[in-house]
Amino acid sequence: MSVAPLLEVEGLRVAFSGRRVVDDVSFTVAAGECVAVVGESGSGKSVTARALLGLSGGQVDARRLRLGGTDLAALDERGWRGVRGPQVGLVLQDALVSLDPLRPIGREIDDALRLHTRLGPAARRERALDVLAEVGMPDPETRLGQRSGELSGGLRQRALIAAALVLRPELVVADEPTTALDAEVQRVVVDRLAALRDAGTGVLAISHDLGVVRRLADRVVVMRAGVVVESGPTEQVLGAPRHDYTRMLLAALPRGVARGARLSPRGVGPGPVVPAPPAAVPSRAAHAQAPAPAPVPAPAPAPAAAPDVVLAASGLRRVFTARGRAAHVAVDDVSLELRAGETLGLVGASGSGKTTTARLLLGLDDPDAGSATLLGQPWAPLRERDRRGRRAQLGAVYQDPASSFDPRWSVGRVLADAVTAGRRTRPTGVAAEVASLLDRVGLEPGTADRHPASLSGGQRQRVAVARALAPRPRVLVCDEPVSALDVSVQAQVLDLLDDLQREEGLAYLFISHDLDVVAHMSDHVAVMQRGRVVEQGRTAEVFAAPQHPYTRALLAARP
Amino acid sequence: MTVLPTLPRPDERRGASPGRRSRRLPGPLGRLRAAETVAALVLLGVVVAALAPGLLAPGDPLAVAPADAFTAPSPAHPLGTDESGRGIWTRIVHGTGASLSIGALATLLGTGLGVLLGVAAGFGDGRWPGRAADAGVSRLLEVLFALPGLLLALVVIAFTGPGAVPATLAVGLATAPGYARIVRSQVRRVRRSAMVEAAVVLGRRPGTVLWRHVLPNALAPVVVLATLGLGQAVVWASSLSYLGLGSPPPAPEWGAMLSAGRTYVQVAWWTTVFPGLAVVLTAAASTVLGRGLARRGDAS
Repeated sequence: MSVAPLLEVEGLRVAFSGRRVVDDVSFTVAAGECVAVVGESGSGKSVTARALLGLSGGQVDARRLRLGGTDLAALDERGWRGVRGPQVGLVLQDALVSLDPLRPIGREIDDALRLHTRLGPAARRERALDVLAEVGMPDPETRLGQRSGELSGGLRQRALIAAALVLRPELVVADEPTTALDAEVQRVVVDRLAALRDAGTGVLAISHDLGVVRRLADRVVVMRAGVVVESGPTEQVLGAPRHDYTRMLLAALPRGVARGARLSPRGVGPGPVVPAPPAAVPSRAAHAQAPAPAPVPAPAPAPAAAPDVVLAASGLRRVFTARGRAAHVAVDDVSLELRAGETLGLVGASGSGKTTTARLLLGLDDPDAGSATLLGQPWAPLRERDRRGRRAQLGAVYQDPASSFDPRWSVGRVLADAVTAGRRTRPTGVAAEVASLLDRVGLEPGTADRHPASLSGGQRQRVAVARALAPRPRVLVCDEPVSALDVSVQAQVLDLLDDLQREEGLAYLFISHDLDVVAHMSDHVAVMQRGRVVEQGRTAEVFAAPQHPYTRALLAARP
Repeated sequence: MTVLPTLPRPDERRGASPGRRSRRLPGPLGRLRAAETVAALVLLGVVVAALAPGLLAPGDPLAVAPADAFTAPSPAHPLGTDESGRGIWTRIVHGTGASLSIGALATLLGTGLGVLLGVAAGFGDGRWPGRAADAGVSRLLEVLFALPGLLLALVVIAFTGPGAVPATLAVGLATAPGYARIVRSQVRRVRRSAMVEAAVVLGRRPGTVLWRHVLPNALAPVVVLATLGLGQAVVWASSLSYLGLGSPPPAPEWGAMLSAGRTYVQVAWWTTVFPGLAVVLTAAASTVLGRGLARRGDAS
């Protein structure tokens, strides 16, 4: 298919205020081909994509930047307006903010047609309906008149793709088109982009998700710190990577990695010194029999035949009522059991009630029916006054640690505050305890003086873990703890959680929309759909032989 | 307020903080804009005048000299004299304390009351006591908002009778609803943040959460607003005095001076213009500084 490439990029450089963020990047995209640019945050992949539409906002120069017959490097703002839309379509990551909430999606699609074609209203409407049907939008007639707020995440993303496609551009640039979407919706979007490619459009996909890339891309360009480190056909780059960075990215993927095996390479950042369990050992039992790895002064885990149930919920139900709307049953008859030293994974699409369940178990919200016990004693529903004294036994790690810290406080103050929580008197040696916490989560002692805002996402999540550990809890509730992190950082945080669990016999409730992460982290798994637990069992069994149709659908949708 | 969309050349930008640029002064004041520096100097002068009026105007503001009545601005009386021959400059300087302290105390009272009401309304978690407090306070605020601020102050004066203390009280009460609204929304924002949730999960009591997290994080914008409101309060206090509801004559007070001079505005313009300018300058200066603080607060 290599007659003349549709898009030719050679020696692309983008700089902001003299700081170069994309340096000497070269690749081509042919018609009917999908090229994926992968890399972690800060790799320059999004800036590269935006430079192709004249939207980077920095100083762009390139030896060659051609699309079809057009020399993009020579375009002025007026020229760009003629290219964006008819020649290049852009699909953005976050459909919620990329669509104007006040305008029906029909108007959004119509805009492009009015600007770039001479079609009459009836013909434009026809085209809009066609393109909506093409992206698999159910009931396009109705959708034309709906606003983005009335659509689900998947439908919104499809509306965005439709708006990018309606002018039949030769090239579609998709910037993280599947991020923040549930697995099932992801799959639909990937299928649409693949269909587009098969119909002869060039697709440039920007993604950090190697699973999506594997399914969609013909060729892959791996970027790191603004430079292309490796590129080639997908099977070659992902199957037999030559560059260390690509290998590290692939190794960091939790897919198919046995429970307890490490994801991050040793020596990447300071980590707790725990001997690696042999990667071939698949089961938890084997770990328990292995000699105690490190002399850590912590309550010794006792993984006997049947570990104690530390947190149990039965028949939890939570109904939200809003005036003028039907009551919404967020959590319906949910029963769970968490055992010491084990992880219970909670999976399900967004809106399935995972986070509400977590809030009920954390005692941040009271159930309308059902009850929960913590270490054998009543926990919910309970008056906060009676619960407060036992809160130290239960910790929480959130998806977005940044907002969970007081912005005025240093890391040291955050941890010192957490150390004193749940104790009547201010214990001596708080500073020493803070230092030991930082050490346990693999952070430098100097981190104590810094503010969370000045830390990287991974470091911040480590601080969040340290804070959760400070009152010496028995149970941690982790709500999407790694979904805001890059793959390699995600691997480090998952390894950290794993090590801590082994050292201290913690029980985790691990909530994630990422099935691979849950499969890697959990001993048991519960699948939620519309507020109900539809399937529950040992992780290996549920993943190998799902019983419920919804579980099967979820598993099939994995990229 | 102009936003400059043009990007300066890279060499120009280096070392400068990103964002808006404007003329900056050299030296330690370089972080302030020129307008803010002028405003700061004006306020400094105002504060000096309030604390030690004798430094700027050694004369006696109450000493009557009928022979000098209605002297135009001259070296002996830089801003002229009034109907009793008292120097306008001397009276303005000596009146600063009264005008400013009414403004400042009223602002303090207004923000204090606003914080109390706002916290009461915003800190609840949607269950019984908090919900009732929110409903009660919010309805009360709506009623108060239905009346213009100055009118509200007049209503208070109608109950208390005129005087400096009632004027302070009146202006303070009249400004409180505005602060209360803002505090309520700020408190609600922080109350629902993950940071407060994290503190609750650690087992912190509501009082501790309020004191350690909610108040410090919710009140930063209020401090900025209070600076803005100070100018407004000075204007209102002077307005009340002008209407004869504040400091009684012959005490030098800007609003009272305006009021006394208005009869003679045809023959002696300086009796009204300069006290008026004092009010405007003080209010403008504190507003400019307040906006500067607000902008800096947004940036951080």
